[in-house]
Amino acid sequence: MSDAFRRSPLFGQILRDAYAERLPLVVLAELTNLCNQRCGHCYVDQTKTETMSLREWVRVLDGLVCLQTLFLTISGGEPLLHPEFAEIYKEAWARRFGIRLFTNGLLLDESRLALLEAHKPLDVQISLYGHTPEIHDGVTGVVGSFAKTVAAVRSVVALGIPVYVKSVWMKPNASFFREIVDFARSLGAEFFGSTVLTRSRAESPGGLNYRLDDGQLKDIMRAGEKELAVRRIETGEEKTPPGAEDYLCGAGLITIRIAAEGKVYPCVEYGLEAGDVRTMSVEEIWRRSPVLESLRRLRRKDAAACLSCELSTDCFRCPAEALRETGDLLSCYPEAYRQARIRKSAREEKDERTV
Amino acid sequence: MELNPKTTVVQSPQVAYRDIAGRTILLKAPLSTLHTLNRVGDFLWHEVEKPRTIGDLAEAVCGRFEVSREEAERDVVAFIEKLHRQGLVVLEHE
Repeated sequence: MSDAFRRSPLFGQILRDAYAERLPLVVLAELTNLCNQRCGHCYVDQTKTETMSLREWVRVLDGLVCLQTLFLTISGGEPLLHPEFAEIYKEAWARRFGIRLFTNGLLLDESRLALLEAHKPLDVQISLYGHTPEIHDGVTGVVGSFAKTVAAVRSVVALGIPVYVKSVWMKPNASFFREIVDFARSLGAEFFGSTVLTRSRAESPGGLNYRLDDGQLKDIMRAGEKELAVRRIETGEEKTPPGAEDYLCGAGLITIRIAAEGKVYPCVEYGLEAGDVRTMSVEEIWRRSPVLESLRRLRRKDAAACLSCELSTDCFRCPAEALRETGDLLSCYPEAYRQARIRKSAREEKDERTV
Repeated sequence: MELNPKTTVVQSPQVAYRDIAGRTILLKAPLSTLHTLNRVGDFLWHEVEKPRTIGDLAEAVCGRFEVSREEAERDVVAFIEKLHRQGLVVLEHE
């Protein structure tokens, strides 16, 4: 398995150290909001077209080295659309980050594949929404995208680079989840899916219109494979129930997102602006941002209703989504409750079958 | 590949690494396993950011830790062989 490192005790220790020492261990760098696909469920605001130059990114990368960032996820939009993608990628690689590249694969031509071969990332994560052109191209709005994406998966696998095929379960593809997983694995890729669909950053409904109904969600959760609905980093260490003094999540504690135009956010979900790397160094933002500081003070016990909730062990509640949906990052919100209720029910049915 | 005092060693550029909470963490791309180093290993890892010979490294270890030249060279060879097996360093022979 390509992500075996996550299951090592050392990775669990690194995560604990990063929390304790306040290190941005994992940073998401969104090079551009632009994309060459038109997925209706996408959360990115493609009307924001401003991007940072190579020179600006280099300054950010140097700052992240000082902050001891180990994992750098290069994403977008479609990051390969940034005019200086190759140069930014090489500068990041030279600074010894563990790079993960998120892409739809459409622009992975020979020169980009040669770049990846010579400067290997930890893995490449490629979005695929169907096992047929009809389903995938229907989601992306681009005829021919299925063939190009599948070819990209095969090409990257052939380079010996681990590929994760990522999918989001939504109305057009949910009934085919088994076929899609099997197809991804037949390409030599790992697979993970998500049931999380959110509002777009452009404040349009985005993914909300694509959410599954209860029956569809339950079918996926009942299949019982964790790869079908990934939400959390798992370390492989023995799990202990989260305690009241635990942090709500890693946003602003071990991770940040740097948006295409230079704004810094606690994670991919939060819309709370922590600073701007065009006017302040990333180190200064990490160390002094009041937004990040306020998140670092929060503990699970602050979300009092969750502590006594019977669904807490099945709930993948996201504080950022809570904030967006209810205005209070500590509150319950309907979609988290719904998914937790269905997950619990599916798990109990599965346990009964096992007995 | 047998190592000798003139063998040159340098970090593999495919290795991501950082100093996290006082320990050096190594991660080789494509994704495989995480590694951490002990105190001497940590010292040697940073020494080979630029190409160094086994002889140079043994000298450096002698200067930093209380060990004989012979013992230092033996330990350096064993350590570098281990890193090389894991693909974490690149070797060049004269």
